[in-house]
Amino acid sequence: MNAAAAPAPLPQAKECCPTSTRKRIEFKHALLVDVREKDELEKLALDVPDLLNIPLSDFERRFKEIPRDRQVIMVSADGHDSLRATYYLMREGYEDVLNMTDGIAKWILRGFPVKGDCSGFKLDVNAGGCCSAS
Amino acid sequence: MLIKVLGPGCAKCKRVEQLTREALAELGLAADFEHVTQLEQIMAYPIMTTPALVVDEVVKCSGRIPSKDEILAWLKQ
Repeated sequence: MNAAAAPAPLPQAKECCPTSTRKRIEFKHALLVDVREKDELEKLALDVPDLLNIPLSDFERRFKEIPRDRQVIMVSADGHDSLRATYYLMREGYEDVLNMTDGIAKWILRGFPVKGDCSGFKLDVNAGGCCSAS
Repeated sequence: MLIKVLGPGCAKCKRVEQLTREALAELGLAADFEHVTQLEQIMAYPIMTTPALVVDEVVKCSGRIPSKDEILAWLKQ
């Protein structure tokens, strides 16, 4: 019996920096989905008008809460877990999903608003390179 | 038989491969091994977490290191 064929690799995920993320929230009504655990979110969260929290540990069960008719930007501490979630949604057929590069760490380094205490948050990502840098 | 270990190549991935090779030896079976490390390829499978073990393109487990007994049962199927 022949083995099943390997699934085709997914296309490379789209990424956006924190500055672009803010523009997408304002002009494209993008929804941010934070995949950190609830206790992490309670300590520190992005101060944005609309944020959905679906922890990675529960993502497979709850991802259907994410709307398909809206641009979605995935967020995590450093952009790695959210990239995984981005690919998961792409495989599930979500067409307008992006990953926020370097995650909340980059958001903080850009000086963008947060709720909670930034002290102790791991900020070892590239501080430069965001598109608002001039 | 084609065995794939999905993951970045960390110690857990290597442990999954080691256990699988031991299980194959116990059963007297041969298999080709492939490590899938690219996220675009890993996430094409229906998993969220690694390491993952795939036998003939069927995901047997993900997000943990399976026991050798589990692997033996999968390889016998």
